[in-house]
Amino acid sequence: MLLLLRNRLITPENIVDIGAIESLGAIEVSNGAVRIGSLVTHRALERSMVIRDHVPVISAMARDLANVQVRNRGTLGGNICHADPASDPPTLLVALSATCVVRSARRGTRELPVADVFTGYYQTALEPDELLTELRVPLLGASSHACFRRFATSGEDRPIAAVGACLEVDASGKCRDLRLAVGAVGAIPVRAGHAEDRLRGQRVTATAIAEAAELAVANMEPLDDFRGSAEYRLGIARVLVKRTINACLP
Amino acid sequence: MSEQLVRVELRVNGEVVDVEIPPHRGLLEFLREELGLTGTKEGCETGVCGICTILIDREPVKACLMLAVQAQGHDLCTIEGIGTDGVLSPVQDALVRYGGIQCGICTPAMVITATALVEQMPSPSEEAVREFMAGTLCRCTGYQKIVDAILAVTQQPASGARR
Repeated sequence: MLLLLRNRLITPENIVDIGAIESLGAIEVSNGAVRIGSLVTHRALERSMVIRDHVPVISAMARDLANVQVRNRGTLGGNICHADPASDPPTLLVALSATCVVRSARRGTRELPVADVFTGYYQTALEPDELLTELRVPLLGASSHACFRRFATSGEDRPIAAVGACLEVDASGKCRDLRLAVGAVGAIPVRAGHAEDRLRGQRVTATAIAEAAELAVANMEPLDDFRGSAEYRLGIARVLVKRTINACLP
Repeated sequence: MSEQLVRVELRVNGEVVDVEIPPHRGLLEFLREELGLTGTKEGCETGVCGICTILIDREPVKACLMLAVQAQGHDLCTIEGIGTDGVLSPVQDALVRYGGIQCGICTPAMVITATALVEQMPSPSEEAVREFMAGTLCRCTGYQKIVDAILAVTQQPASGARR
């Protein structure tokens, strides 16, 4: 927010500090989901035993996010509402089929898929009178495994591709379900539906994964800037999809 | 923004600070100009370089990305609160001995961040030290001697001294 203020990208009359609302800082498991308050910091996510026990992919993502100073202040809810295309949590939460709980004094509470929150470059579907209160992540089944991978041309730089994958494989090695999200390539994270369809019900072979990766990047609308041309981003994304799905295999 | 002042009460280096400031006052500017604590430096002012790092409730944060009012009720530690006159803290002493200082502009932030590291991680690996320190940049040293200094501090038995 300070960056937006400093650059005069926002010029509010008033700013309301919601930091004292303790209930927004809770992490708990109920009704088949991990419920993360919107004010939980990335540092708290990184350190949470509840997250580590139930959705360890979020612990790993949080541990790698920016640096310790940023993680001490940045919150998961703030991150989602900022909708930075190069940011890690949106892509992973889309792959995990997470939902957002949003509240407004006049219109009550609504819950929507995280995937529907991002509408464009730094833009969300939240109304001006709505407050994001909670992120809900459905618990993974015993035969599901989720991974997150990102690629930046240099260590601390903004990533140009990020992939979240949640793969469920049955005893015979066939894919029972795949959720695949690609982010940082375009303005918003996208579910790679065609890639998911290609693998669902099939044995997870190297060929099948490679074909799924091709499908994942087809029809993407990549950003094109000094960090990577559109062509370069697609090429990296294709490789990253393969690596992330492979990382999910038992 | 409104010209109305806001009252802020917090602790800085163990002392209570109780002042009225404009609500849009940045924390870094507040520390340097209102409180005269110029040890914390202004660098990129965009949260990247980390030379504005201070401790809030013993956790490292970048002061350039906060409003002063957000520190209300908290316990702040700046470089002026590390060590005492004539007596360097273990982290400060190690940085000097290992030569982890050149121009010195990042040094306050390195000390602050490393102080938090030493408090939180009793026996870190070199990789863990590098990751913890990754948000504070140095253009001079190439980092190795800073890392060596921190590892030297953590390999000593706990002295019980925090500052």
